[in-house]
Amino acid sequence: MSTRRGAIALAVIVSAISAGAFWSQRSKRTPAAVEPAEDASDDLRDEVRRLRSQVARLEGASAWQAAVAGQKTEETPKTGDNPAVVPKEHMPDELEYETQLEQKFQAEAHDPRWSREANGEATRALTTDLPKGSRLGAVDCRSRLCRVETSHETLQAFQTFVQAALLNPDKKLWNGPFSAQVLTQSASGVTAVTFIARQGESIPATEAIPD
Amino acid sequence: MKRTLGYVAVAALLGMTAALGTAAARSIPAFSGRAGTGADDTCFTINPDIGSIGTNTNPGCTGRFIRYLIGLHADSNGSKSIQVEYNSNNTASQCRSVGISRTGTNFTSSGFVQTLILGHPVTMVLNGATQVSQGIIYVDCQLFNPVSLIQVDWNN
Repeated sequence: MSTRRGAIALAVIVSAISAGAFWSQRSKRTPAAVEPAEDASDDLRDEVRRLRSQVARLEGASAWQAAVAGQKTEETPKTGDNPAVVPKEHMPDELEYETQLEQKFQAEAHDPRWSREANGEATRALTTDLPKGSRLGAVDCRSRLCRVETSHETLQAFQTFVQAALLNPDKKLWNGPFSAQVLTQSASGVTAVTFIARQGESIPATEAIPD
Repeated sequence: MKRTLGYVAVAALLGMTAALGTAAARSIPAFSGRAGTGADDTCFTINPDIGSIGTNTNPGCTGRFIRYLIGLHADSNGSKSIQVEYNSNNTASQCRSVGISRTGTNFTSSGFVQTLILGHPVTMVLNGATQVSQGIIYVDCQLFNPVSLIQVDWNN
């Protein structure tokens, strides 16, 4: 029994190594390029289609994980003479994340064509969906991100603004990722800043912060 | 030749699966979600063969968008890359990812991504939701019959 298990395990490992070698040798050629023979049965065609779908999904996941691994490697430099010592770090809390977005936004240049158009569109859309008692402050669009300041009478009013102007599928604003963050809360009200990505662009991801 | 093609594909899948095995990732079947409103629960049917959940043609369930929500759990804060596997016969359906902090002071979201008609299961990527301060993340879909959701994968 154990011999049989060992043989199965060995077969799986050999398959995995073969697959690695196979993919490294033909990285430019995708599974979608492999067509079943013209005389292939419908079952075989369906099987190939199913396998293509699975491979495409796994490729996507693999690429993403490689990107994440690369990012982590860059963010965790080795310390001193001992390469085994890696400095501790943490993922940002919401205000630290807002700071990261602020820095990324400030580093952006204005896109002469998009900035002006987006400024106008964001101002119109957000004003329309702004709850009573809330106010729209500065709106600044650069090349990939818009930064929008708002003030609200209460935290609930801020949440209503997010629901109506940003999350509602029928909102007036374009379909883009966003991050909305309360900056201050006091008896006089709530101030918030929202970063909205240009359609087709992404909101910058969180980056680990050294402790 | 046919047999070789099959062996190569299976070997490739095994190899890639082995490579992904050590990654911190989570996955749940789509039927673990719920309709956005209780009245729409009858608009969904589970396919036990593949664990998917799809819209059906019950009275009142066609010709309009039906909301479907899938809550996700992540052990760590940070931006999440979320993948939804689906099979659709229309391009009207759409999904997005949303993150909300525990205190309700931070909201993040991807944009809506519309479904494609490919005749076989396909994956959409929803980057944008960020978990901060031990908050929550979820997938929010507006579905237009016929469409089925199969599985959700995300980084932990």
